[in-house]
Amino acid sequence: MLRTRLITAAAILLTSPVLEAQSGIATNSPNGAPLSTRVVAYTIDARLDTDKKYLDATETVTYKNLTGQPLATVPFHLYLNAFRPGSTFTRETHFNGGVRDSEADNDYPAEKLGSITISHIDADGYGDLTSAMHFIAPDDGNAQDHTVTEITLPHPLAPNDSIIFHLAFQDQFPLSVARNGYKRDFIMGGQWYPKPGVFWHGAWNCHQYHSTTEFFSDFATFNVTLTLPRRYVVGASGVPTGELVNANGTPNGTRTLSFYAEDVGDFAWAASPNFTVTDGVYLSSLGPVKVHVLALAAHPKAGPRYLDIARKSLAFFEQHYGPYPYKLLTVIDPEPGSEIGGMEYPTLFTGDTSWYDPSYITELTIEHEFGHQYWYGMVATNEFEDAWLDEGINSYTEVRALGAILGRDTSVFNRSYANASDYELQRFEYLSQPDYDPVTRWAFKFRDSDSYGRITYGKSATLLATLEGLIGRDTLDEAMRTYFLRYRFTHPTTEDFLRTIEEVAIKNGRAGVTGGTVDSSTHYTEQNQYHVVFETDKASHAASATDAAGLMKLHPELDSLFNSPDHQSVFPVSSLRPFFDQAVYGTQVLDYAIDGIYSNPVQWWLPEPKDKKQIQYLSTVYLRRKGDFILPVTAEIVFDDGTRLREHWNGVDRWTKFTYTRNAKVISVEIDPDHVVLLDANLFNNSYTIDRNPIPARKLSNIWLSFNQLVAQLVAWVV
Amino acid sequence: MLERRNIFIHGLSLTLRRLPALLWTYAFNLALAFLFSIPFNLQISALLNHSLAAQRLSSGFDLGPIAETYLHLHEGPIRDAGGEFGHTSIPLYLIVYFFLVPGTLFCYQTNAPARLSTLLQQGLLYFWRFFRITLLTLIVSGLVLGPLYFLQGKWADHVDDHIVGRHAFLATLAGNIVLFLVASILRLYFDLVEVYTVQLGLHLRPAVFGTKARPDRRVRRALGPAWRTLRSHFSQAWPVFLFLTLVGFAAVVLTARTSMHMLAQPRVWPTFLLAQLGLFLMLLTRFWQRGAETSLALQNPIPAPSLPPILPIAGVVNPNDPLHPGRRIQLTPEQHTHPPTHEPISNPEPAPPSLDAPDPGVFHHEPTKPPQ
Repeated sequence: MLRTRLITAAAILLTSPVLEAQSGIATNSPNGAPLSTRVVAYTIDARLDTDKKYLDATETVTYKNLTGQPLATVPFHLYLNAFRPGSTFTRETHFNGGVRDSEADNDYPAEKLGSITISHIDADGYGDLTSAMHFIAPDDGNAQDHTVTEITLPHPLAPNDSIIFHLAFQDQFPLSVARNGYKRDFIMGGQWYPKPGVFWHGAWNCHQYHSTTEFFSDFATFNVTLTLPRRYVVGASGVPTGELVNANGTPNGTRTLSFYAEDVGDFAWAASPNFTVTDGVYLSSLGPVKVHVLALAAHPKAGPRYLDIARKSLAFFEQHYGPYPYKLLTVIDPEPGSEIGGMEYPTLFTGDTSWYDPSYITELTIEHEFGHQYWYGMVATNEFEDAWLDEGINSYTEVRALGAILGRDTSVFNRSYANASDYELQRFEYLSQPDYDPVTRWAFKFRDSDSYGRITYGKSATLLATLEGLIGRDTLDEAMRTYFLRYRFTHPTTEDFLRTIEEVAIKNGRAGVTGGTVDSSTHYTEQNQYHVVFETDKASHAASATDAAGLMKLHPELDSLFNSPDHQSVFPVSSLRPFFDQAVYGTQVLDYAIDGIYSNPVQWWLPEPKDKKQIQYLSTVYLRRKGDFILPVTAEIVFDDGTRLREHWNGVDRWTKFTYTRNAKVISVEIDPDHVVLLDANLFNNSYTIDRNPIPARKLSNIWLSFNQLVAQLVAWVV
Repeated sequence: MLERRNIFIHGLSLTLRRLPALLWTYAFNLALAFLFSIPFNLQISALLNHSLAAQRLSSGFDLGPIAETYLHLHEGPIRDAGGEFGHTSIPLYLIVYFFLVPGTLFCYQTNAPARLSTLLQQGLLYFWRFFRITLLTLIVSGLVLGPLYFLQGKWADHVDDHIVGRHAFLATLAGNIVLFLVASILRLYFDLVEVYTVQLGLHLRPAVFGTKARPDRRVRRALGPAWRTLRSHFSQAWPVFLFLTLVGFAAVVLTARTSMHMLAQPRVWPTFLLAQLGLFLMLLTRFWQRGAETSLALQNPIPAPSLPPILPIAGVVNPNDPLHPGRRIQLTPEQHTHPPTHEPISNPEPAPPSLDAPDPGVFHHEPTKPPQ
């Protein structure tokens, strides 16, 4: 063990200077080239009053117009203004529930008031723009919502030109409501500075802050200095670049910390006087990654636990999807009871634990938030509109990674007497509210926060796990890796993701081509729903699709579709489309069931012979589609002579039956015998066995009985 | 002078001597829960018994299928049978308990055998008195514990503002322990009120103006003696009460934990037996507490009311008449020096007359005398 550590340390020492010369400042980018299209450059100089939870800052924003068209306005996010009673965020949280604090009370506590105020803004060549600034509410027209401000430029910003804004702004951090703010003497600087929207698909995309939404921003560089009391320990996005102890000579004096981040969409920091440091290194294929854990002293076990699972997650993701390209990964342990735990920012995220955690929830949180470095951090999807692409894909990879690290069936709880797994947790979440919304619904248009959470996390993870079963784990892994490598440092959409899966599945012969084509510019929105012809019969033959070469021979038109320079945006529609149409774009619920099994003597009127093997039975098996989701079904029929048969049903009709005349009775039938269709809403009715096993029911009944007795005895203490 | 006995030992002795009272209570606790868990059992049996997916619960205890079972309990023709009927056993048990407790206390105090008929008969007699005591308990507990609960909330907020981790947990726990200790004193006091109420019911209220003497049903008359007994024997009664409470809860926790560790086994009876053992021990300690409280009350009885003099029938003067108000009962020296060795509660029935010599007016069969 010690030897391994020495070798690791030596490797770091030897390789670091070399890599330093070649890589970026904050990334292990080969040759030091930018990894992303850096649209914005921020320079922020901030001073934090830790007593008043108040921050005073100046900010320089250099925005490069890469939109290809002149820009007359620039919108800015002012997220901290969500924490006031009249905001859309608080209104939605109050009435429909929030993903964190509920704000269900009829008074809004003063300590939860947060704000961000731009006291001055000007731009080089544009003059003072303070008066040109006005709040807008593009989503709901709420005049009391001040989370987006728009600046009308005196003259348009030409394509490929840059504009340099100079701002002075002040933050008042609230007692944490969601993701940022303070708790005790811990302060989380998340979404704390004015940030331009993203010009995307021909328009500014700058949504208000909603109770269920997260964020969306362009890739950028950040030069940030933060001045705060010396006793505070700070973790931040990017890498630390300097520290200056301010010469005011008192123990309560301040220091100024500098940070630099590149190829990231956001910058966050966390400060607490109670942090203890646990550091480690992960050697990625691009270079060493330092894992910097800042855990509370009150959680003595958190540091090693965080570090261990973070390193294992780095290894899993590199092996399956691609390398983590940044030099530093900072893990923050927030104050217990805050609404800040389990939140992702580029190269920094918060964990969530307690002084006693016998489960793997601590590991689950770290793995999940680390996964966001890929699905949000690098593959920077629009979290307002395609929340499932970050939270959903990330929940799926969380299940995969935790299953590999902690065991598939024991990834949440692992004791000799009981166990729980992450995939079951996601499934349970989905099944508790399965059909109000499709996963592709914009995050703030879900029925409520419950539906948002259960669909975006639970259903997405479950449908991708089902897809894994349908096209094979290797194929989906390859598709995910392709998706990551192809779309990292860009802003892909749902169709980009689905088409990547189709492409790899077709290439690997795990999906067929149903003939239609779709222009990639087609973008699914609430207003413009994407339609695919639903061809069930073709879908049922997905498993029989040929490999890529054979496919091209069978469908020569595909070659031109894939390779024609004039039609690079045209893609084949695969046999997976019906699945996507229902599972991704639809709200159908999948439930197939065994409706009955019967075995009777063919010659029923004859007396039963002594040798029962001589009896010929007519056996009938009925399968039923109870849900409105149609999927081809495999059923395994087992006879009492040991014979096992597998039957396939296209699943379209409401029911089907299989009949057999054999010298054996059917003893059990199971739909989906390989247990790959986790979207099935009821796994219990997927099988029926003649042999009755009362133990499971008795176990639960016994618990129920004892629980009721105990409660009765406790209630009786009033007498 | 009354004999002083250790209430802990004497309480156990009373409990064991009247064991059927405990057994009947436990039987009702189990039977009601069992009865009302049948729909639940039927529903999940229909779901699980023939499903291969449920096998993971047979040789293991996977929380995933259990969570899914919970979701499917809301489906089917007997929709949520477990939820709708499963908890009905709790209020029913509470009602039965209202009958059984007075009966048990009656048997503890009178040496009457704890037959179910006796328990229920006495329970019926005392039902409304105990109902009033329970109401009073709730009101007083609300008045006392309510503000304390509020203060505990403030304390927890204060702790939450300044401390985290294990220390915060312990500090908050300390507040909850204070709340528990105060609640235990209240419970002990009202337990004593119940014991004295039963004791009072054994006394006859003096007849007034032609009305017949009848049992004393005034709950308020039990409040004072209970308070005085609690105050004067607090250091003896409270530790015993607390100890038995903690032993009862510890038994449940220990057996629940042990049976939990058996959940993965493909058999149910060990977990069932262990759980039932814990629940029985919890009930036993509660009845032991009742026994200890009864012992305390027997050693500090409410004085029996003095009955008004029964006047002789006009015109008949017989100085030897045992009912003559002027007649003095001759006590033997033994009766003067020894306190009663049985229960110190006086029998409410009047003492049988004791004559110096057989009443000549009454025929007495004397076998030594030849028949006349």
